Amino acid sequence: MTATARPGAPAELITSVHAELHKLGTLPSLRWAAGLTWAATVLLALAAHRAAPAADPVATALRWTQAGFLVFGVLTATQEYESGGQIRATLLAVPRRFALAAAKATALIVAAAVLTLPTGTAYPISVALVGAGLGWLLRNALAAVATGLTLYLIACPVALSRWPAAANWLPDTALLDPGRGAAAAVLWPLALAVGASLSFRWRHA
Amino acid sequence: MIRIDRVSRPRILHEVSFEARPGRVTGFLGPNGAGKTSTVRILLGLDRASTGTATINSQPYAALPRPLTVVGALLDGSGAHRARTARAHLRWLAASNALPRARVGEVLETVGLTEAAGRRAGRFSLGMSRRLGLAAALLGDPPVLVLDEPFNGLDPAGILWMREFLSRCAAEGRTVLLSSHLLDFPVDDVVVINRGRVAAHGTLAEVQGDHGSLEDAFLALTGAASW
Repeated sequence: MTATARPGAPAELITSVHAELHKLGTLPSLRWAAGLTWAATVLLALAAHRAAPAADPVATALRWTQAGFLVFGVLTATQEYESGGQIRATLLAVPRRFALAAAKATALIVAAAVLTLPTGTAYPISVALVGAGLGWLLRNALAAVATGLTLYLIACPVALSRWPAAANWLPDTALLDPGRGAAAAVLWPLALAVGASLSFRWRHA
Repeated sequence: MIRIDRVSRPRILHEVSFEARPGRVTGFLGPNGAGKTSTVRILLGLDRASTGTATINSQPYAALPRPLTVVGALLDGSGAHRARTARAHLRWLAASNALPRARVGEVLETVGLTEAAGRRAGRFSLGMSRRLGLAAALLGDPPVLVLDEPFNGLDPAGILWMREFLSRCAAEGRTVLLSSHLLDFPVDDVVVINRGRVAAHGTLAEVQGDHGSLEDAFLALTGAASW
């Protein structure tokens, strides 16, 4: 990583993060994704609380609305590859690709943290990061959302029912059992971030 | 100063070398598919050369601190997401290189987009998109400009404006490198590329040589005169 060796790298990271946050804040599709996810989570949590006051209503709601956080994460990445060629403007402004990847990850964590603050859990941040990793690898919103939904809504439940011992390593265990699934909720996005950064570094823009 | 030194990419570029100097407009000319865009993308760090080096003020693009203050680049398309307003696009670009926010209004004024600043980039005409791309290139008031086919999509008034603008930039001492498949603009130096190789390189007078005009020289050098 040449970026970390440069003098002034922290200042550079801060300006890049600032720019990335500005990008996230001025894209209508991201505002919609955030707003709808938030509204759906609140409504479902209220309904869940009425139906079963004993269970954690937010966790119940998030079982469904985590898809919204996934979409949010995907869009933060794939906006760069939509028509207009923004990725080139991005790379011309911040040409050091690992530094750019770090800035993007930091900006997404900040945005997702603000978004999930009311839920009292960090789990949706993990889902958003997995979405962003898939978005960077696939460069296509539809493909990335489809892959992410398959992972969270089909592959994980199937894997859990066949091999209950695998729960420790599934990315969604942390939603219902934070103590048991925390490591996986960190490792999945981390592995995807490393893979996406490497592919971003070596592929042409 | 831009220096391209024996840059190669398999089947696309073969040992391409040339320089573009400050205070001069360097025309990078060649037929479509000759390797102009590939060379420009390598210069800007968007693609990699398999061998050779491309530097700006002796540094590869990726090593430039706050690159927008050194190089302004105009590529195909505006570079703005279609759902973002022109102003928002320029603001994040300014933020990324720690440029003062006031620059956004200034460059919008320069390219004549002040009225359209609040419109989404996706609603822009082709000519307006090029202007927005140019506004982005000018944000950091860079001493070097690299423009890939800057006349594409411009109406006659836009072409005239762009020609005068580029001449003025060179007169201010900037290095201006522009690629084009057209020859109808004022240049000081000329690089002719054909099938991935530099066919001629020098001042306008040197490249014209005995051919009479730049058009004749271009056609002779690129073998396009057969029809």
